[in-house]
Amino acid sequence: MARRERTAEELAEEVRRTRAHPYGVKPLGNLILSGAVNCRDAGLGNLKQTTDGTVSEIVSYCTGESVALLSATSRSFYAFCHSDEVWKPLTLFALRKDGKFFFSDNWKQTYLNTRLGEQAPKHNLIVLDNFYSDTLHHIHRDSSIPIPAKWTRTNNVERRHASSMSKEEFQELYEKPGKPVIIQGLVENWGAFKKWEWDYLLSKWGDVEYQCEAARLTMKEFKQYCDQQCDDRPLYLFDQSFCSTSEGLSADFEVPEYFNDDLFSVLGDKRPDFRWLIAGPARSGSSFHKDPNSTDAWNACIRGVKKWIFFPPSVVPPGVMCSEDGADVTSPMSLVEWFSNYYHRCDEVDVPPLEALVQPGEMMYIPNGWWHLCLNLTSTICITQNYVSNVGLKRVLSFLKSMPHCVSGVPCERRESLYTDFREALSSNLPELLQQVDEEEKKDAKPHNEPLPQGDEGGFSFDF
Amino acid sequence: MPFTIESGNYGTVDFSKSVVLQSNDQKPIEFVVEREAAKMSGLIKDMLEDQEGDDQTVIPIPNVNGRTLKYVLEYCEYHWNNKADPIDKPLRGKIEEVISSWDRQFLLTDLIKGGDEKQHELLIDVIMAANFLNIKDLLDLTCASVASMIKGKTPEQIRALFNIENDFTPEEEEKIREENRWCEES
Repeated sequence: MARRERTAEELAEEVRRTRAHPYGVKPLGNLILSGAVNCRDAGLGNLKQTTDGTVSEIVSYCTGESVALLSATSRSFYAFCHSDEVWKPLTLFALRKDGKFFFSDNWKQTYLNTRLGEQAPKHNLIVLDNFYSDTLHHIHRDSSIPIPAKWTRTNNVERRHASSMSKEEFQELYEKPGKPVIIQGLVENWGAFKKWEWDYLLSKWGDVEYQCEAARLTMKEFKQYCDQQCDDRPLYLFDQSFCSTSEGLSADFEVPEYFNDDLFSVLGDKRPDFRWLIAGPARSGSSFHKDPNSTDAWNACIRGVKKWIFFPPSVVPPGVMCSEDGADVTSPMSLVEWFSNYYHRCDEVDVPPLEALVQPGEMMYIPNGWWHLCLNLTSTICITQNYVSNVGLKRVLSFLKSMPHCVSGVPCERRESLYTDFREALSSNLPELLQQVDEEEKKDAKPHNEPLPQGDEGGFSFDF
Repeated sequence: MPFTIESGNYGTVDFSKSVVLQSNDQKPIEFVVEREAAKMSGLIKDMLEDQEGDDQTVIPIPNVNGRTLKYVLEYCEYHWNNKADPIDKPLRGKIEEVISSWDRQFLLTDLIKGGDEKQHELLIDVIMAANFLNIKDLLDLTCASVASMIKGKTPEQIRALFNIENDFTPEEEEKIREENRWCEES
């Protein structure tokens, strides 16, 4: 019986699934089985007793030249010096000073392209046959294992159709109690849903620059990177200025009625950052965080499939560490690493998470204060906005007043004053609303027993 | 300087404010450290979370000898309420140029003995201790110091400094040298 002809995509996927480590690094388990000798220690000299993590930390302080010369000292250092984790930040750093971004093959080659342009040498990979390390191997593993079905099976966030839900009903059932919901029947009517294929976007905005984490890349440069990369934690395009930099994009979507209160708009252009164009390849996404300034948010999935996990405000997700005042949230691993090491621990948490697989055309509502994580299972394009409605105004004012050090989305010098600035703008534009909120606040406040704002368990910070 | 006591002689120790840490030497050296300073170690901080205020807290530190522990604790006693600025990655210039004068002194007196790079045995011991005890700022400082020692050196010089065995084949070495030509030119 003839084998079914596999498509080019299937073949590429198979190669990717079985892709060996480009430099031949193997996990420690292989060493035990093979009885070979690990070249690690001899090649580290006086540093041999330190851990792999420590050696990587030392390398992370080295400049591009230092790393290149260090990699020539021994096979062991060659392995440590050729991780994508090393050359990606060096490339982004080099871009800040000068240089044109051109991703080819891997981050080391890309660094050489950026630093040296046409003079860039070809990076010839040396495959090591005797270097074993779990730390270095797991990064490669995370970049190449197929996403297991069990990570995407659970889909228990409620779904509602816009045609059968009024704004009042949305606020009563979801916004006031703070409950995630997926809304259908909105995004599929947008121009973006019909038009936003990559060819179209590149033809109109290919040369426009967008914020991609620490770097600014044109859409063409970013797309070229997406197509070639094999990162365990791919770069994410996450841009807050797209409506002003890219004429025509804003006409392709509209803020749904449920979310059109948008009270921060009274601040005009002094308002905190509030809307982002987001795009990224499979494995990109956002690790666990709470959204800024105690706001609510919606996330419209225009292209691609996204895996979401939600935990309620008072439940810290497994693998996440909050600093004491909640001002700093550190979750420094890749999303794939989190799933590999911590996803199963969700079973041990008192309150099981809500999870969802969001398809193109669907919109996720993210209530304020909820921890959430998002993993892109395929290449995705989304728009997200944060907002304050009448429902949330009292809470947001309280947050801005009591947690000025956790305010974000405005320049440092304006964080402390955002509370008073907002109040002033409200009192000019919506005096009755402000008055109403102040009266409610007085009623709530009992002597020695003021209610705490919901945001106090954890401040917001993106840890890219 | 970290305060040591005669073995087992806890009479003078105020356990409401301090803890006792024991090194892993044959004859353990016992250091009296203020709780807040000791808590710079993530490992010790976690241990102390379950403690009642006045418990006679004596913690054996399995992987760290007395000589190394002394310097680790000196760092903690100075920095627990005087946090060091983060060190930029990649390192701008040499380490001495980007750290405080206290940290410079701390590094270049004994860890890098007399400021002589070749005498870095204690530096590496402190790196391992900082890693084990989970003291991020100390680990950052010491790792950045090693990176600083590597900076500006040829592969031959780096090997000599750290006693690294060159296990490349001549062909491999030539391949890398060719690719690294741009480093010489910059």
